[in-house]
Amino acid sequence: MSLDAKKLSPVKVAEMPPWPGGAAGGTPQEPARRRIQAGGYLMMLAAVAVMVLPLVWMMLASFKERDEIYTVPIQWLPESFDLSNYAAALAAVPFGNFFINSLITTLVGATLKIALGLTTAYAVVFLEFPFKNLIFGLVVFALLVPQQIVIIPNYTLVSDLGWINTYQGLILPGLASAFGTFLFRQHFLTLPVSVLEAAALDGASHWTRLWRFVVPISAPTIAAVALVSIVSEWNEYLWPLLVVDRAEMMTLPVGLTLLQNNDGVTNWGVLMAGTVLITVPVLLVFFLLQRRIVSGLTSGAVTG
Amino acid sequence: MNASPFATMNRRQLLQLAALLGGAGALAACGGPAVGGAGGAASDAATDWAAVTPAQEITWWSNHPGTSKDIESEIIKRFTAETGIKVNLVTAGANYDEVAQKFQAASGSSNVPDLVIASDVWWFRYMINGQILPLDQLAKHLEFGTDDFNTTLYNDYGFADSHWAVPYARSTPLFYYNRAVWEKAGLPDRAPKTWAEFDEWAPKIASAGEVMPLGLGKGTSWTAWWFCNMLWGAGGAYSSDWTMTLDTPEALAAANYLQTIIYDNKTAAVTSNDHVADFGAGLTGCTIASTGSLTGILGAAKFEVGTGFLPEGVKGPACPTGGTGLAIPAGKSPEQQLAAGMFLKFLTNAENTAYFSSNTGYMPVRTSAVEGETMQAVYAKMPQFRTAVDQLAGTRVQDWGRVFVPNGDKDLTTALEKIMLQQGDPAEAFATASASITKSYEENVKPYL
Repeated sequence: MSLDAKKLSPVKVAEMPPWPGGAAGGTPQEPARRRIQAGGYLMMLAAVAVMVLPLVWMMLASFKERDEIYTVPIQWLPESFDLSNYAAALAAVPFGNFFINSLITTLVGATLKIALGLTTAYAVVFLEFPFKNLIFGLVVFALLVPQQIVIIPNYTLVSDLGWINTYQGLILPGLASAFGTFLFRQHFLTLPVSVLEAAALDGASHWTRLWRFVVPISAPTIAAVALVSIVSEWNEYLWPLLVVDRAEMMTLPVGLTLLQNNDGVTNWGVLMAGTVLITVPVLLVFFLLQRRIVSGLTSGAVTG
Repeated sequence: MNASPFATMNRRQLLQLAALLGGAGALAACGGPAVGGAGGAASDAATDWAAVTPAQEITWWSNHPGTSKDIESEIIKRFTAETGIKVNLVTAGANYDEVAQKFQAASGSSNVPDLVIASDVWWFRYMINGQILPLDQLAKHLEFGTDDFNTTLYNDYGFADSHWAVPYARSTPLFYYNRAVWEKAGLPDRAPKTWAEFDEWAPKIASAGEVMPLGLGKGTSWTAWWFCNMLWGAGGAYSSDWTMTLDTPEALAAANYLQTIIYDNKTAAVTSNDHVADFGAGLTGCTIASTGSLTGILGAAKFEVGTGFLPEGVKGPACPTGGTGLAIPAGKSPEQQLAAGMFLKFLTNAENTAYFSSNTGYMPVRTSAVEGETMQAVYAKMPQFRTAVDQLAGTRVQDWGRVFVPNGDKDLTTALEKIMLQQGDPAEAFATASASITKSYEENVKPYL
């Protein structure tokens, strides 16, 4: 449809609506919009404060003497940034051992979770086989099942296999990641099928298509799943508590309980130092992956 | 009051329970299956302990109550030197509930320990699941000298004419106060005799120390334990045998009093997640904490700490026992069980219970240890310890609704925390807890009695 130039009346500059935020004032809706925006920022600030302040407090408390932690009114900064709490934490429990165990279980566990998630999602999206939708439905259903429900059968199986106090006992039962499969599947549905069809015509196998084409263009989603997997593996408490009997196989969260004092007086400075040592690696991973995370978590949100 | 709370069980109930234990019935709701046919009363009676050779290695699951890992390790070292039997000490959790979770998960597998922590709110569940061994025959064979155990503490583990655990890290709640604040307030150097006296003293404590007069603790295995003092002192109880009694005027009066001192008088508060540390740091004038916290508090506090009996209510003194005992799992071989029994005897003998107590603050569980040399030296160095030991004479065993019904303690904790932290209506909170505990009893206990 063409526009009739004659019917278009010229617009005078003076009549033009002002540029938002410009010198010429604002539209009637502008103050309301600004208020909403300000309210949004305030809510965001409040949410950030709720999440960040405990971390800041933990970090600062890890440098404090016992007396400094219990001051009224609250004293945020320590008198001096003394490392004695860290020394005490490291001396009290074999942190090096715990750290290595956590590193192994996290890296191996997260890597295998991602690999399984990728391959399962690829199969569900790009392969044709009977009951495909039913199988994916079961994967989604698995998201609804609390971990606690399967703990006793898993424990019995691991025990019968002789895997108590072993890395495989710690890692294998948690590998089937419904979350990863679901997220990858949603993302794969948004990928251009033409690229994969072209690869197939060139004789690329499914394996090649997955690793050479799908994985490289799925980096943000993989980063998101990696972060979630790393954090959940690193922070896992109940399962390692159950399947580990020996101190030399404990992971950091379980080992940290050795610093606690039930029916006694917990030295919170030392405990906070231990907690910082556990938290920092995960925060570093988060900062390394954060750019890719948002795009990864939102990919596949719109399909069709 | 009977020494044992189980005297009211009739013959029919005893026979039913014996049948249950002989068949090792499982309670799904209790979180773990029974441990096969070896569980229950039959296994102990059928074992000819004289013909059994003890195993040379056993495993003990502990949470090291009162930071006692080093003390436990030292006792193990002594035991191994004396018997040649190796004991693997496992940190099975940070608290009694975590040890219980681990034990419940392991009970369907071959990875069951030879000795396990069995706290006041967990041992009955183990017993009714057929997960632990009745100890009477084994104790008789090993000449435990069970008559030397403190009667209340030993009878805490009695049910159906058997004892299912022996006392280990046993405690009572104790009243701790800041002597410097007391002195500044012009108060006598003692704990308030009654809650009415505390109410008189509280404003002076607040103004003298610029502190919250009384710091209270929260959390499972804790809140409903210390509240026994207020509840029983008012003439109430959580339950009478298996019948919940939280709707009585006395029970509601106790809950209302608790709410009053927090919200109306503002002389008590749940100060944080660690009320013991708060007291040790001088943020509260006094607190109720376990006797097991004694050495920790004395070590951490920068002021002189006084201890006293818990304040009396209108109906007189009231103090529960608590802490944990040790049980032997039923699913192990007689050889393992015998070795575990030998270690249990050694661990709780007069010398070792005194050694454990003097280093932690828990009760010496044997009467001969109370006045023994080790404890006398402790009383001389730490007079506060004497208070804890003396208070033991006035204790009573706990209400079944809290300690024998699965999730009883949890439901009561939820109710009390609603009253303390949300100013919830006591009658409503207690009614909810009563309904939940009664339902749990009907489903998880009654069918097996």
